[in-house]
Amino acid sequence: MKEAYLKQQEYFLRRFIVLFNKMVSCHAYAVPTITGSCFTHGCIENGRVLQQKGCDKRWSAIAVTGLANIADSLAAIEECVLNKKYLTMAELLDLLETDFEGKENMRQLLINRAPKYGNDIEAVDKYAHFVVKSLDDEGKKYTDGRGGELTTVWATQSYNVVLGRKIGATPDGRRAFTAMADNVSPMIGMDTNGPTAVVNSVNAVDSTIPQSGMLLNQRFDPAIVKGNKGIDILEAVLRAHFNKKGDHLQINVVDNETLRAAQKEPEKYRNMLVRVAGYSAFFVDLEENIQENIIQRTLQTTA
Amino acid sequence: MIFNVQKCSIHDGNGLRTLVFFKGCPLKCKWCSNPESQAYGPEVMESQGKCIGCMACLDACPRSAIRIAADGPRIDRDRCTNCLKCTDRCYAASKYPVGAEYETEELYRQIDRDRDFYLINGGGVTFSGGEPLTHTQYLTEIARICHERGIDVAVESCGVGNFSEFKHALPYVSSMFLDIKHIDSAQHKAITGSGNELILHNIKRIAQSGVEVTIRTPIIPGLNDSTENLIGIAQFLRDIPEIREFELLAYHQLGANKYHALGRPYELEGLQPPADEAMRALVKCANDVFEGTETVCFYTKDNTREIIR
Repeated sequence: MKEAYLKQQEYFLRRFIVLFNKMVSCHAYAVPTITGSCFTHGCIENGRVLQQKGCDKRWSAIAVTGLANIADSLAAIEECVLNKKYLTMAELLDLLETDFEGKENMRQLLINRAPKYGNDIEAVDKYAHFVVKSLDDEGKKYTDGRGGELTTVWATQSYNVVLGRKIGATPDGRRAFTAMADNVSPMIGMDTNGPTAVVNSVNAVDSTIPQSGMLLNQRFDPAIVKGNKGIDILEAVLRAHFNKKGDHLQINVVDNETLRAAQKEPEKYRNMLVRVAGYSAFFVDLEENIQENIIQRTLQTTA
Repeated sequence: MIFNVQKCSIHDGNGLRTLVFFKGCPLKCKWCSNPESQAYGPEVMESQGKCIGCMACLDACPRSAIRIAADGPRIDRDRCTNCLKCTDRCYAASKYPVGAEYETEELYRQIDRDRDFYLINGGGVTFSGGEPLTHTQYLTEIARICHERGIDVAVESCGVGNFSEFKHALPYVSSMFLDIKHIDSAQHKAITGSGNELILHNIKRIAQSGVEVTIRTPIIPGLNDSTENLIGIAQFLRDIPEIREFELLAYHQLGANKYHALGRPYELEGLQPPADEAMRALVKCANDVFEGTETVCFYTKDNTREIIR
């Protein structure tokens, strides 16, 4: 199964890089980054902008999202098709082709009978590491259009919503053309063991591999982080994440009621800042589908 | 048998904790918020909201114990033998088993996974239930393993158990939360199914064994929320100098759904949680009894201790 995945990845990445290189070549002439070049070592000395190899050190980072969907899909194939043989690969492909039409039971089976990334379960977290590492390795086989190395970054703002609209159903039970999981966060609603399990799953991936970083979003219920004990939770989760060499963790503390109220009466919540992914934005300025995506991010409550 | 391993809890001990819930309890408290903890064997819970109406469970049941009800297929508990076949078949995990056996090493590995979080501000594992003191051999073994490998062990208990058996676990336990639901034994029996003599006796012996003890009383309106009861419990505690903390817990209705999921009636349907002022008044009333001692009564609001004197 891993071999089949790598083969598809190799095919896709070759196409991706050809396109990418055409684009950066155009950039060098059509939209050179003059300001950036002024502040980057080497460009002034060499008399060339960044895109014309002005800088001594060159990298391009491939931005990726939806780690959870790929890891969960590989785990679902392993468990439901290969191990337990609940269905054949041909049947699975048919389900994906038809977006599970009339087969909700099989979609539920893929969701409930296979482990999901974000719950500190090795059987699926190992695939998250595999995906991150294999993509980075594959990228290293190429150079970008300005002679730089290709690295990876699991940070795509809110592109998980936009890209999801182009992607058909996936073996993790995700319906066609719906949002992907954001960056390296678990899929919406699939992390049911609390924030410590999420942190452990994310740290099953070697965070030193993607040179430009991995983004994890978490949302906490305000009732949970109240008071001294609530601060303990935030402190323990943040410190432990970084002690484990975690790369990045952003936390929103807003309850669903407040977010819903802000959708209804945006004028009253103009200053409510939320972390989206790698950046903060005023909630009321976000497109509705991205607002929905933020509301649906699993709210971490504890007992 | 264990029915839940819950990560990242803050309410039962210091720091971030993993809660391990034993299945099986000698008491049957009317307000029990974990009714699936009461029986000692595995059971089936039903979450009708998840049901997709595929009716596969009807075929799976060898005793034809599943009938179509207004909210979808439901188990007739009189016919059900808890064979769990419907849970094996249910695609949506709408019918799911509660209760699993763990080898102690396997359970330890689960607990150990959050070790990095325990290290930050004094967390560890809390054994709860059900009643851990009625699983003495297993409790002693897992508590010993955790203690020897540097994980702090707390136990939450209703106090019912055989001291000569569970005393072997105590050297590995740093703190315990023990309940007194009512100071009057007859009343205690009326609301929990058992008298309180053994509980009160065990509390004294556990406190004297050197384990740090916090006493808890859940405040259930109409059942045990009289000032007379609170004063009685406080007077009992005043005479045990080893016990310094007395926590009142406000009744909540969060367990009601679980009764429906187990196909059982919930006796306290509609009962409202005690008002904040009522909780404050009871805390004060206990602290009046503790005046001049080092014992303190409190309740927790918004994750912070409220001590009213």
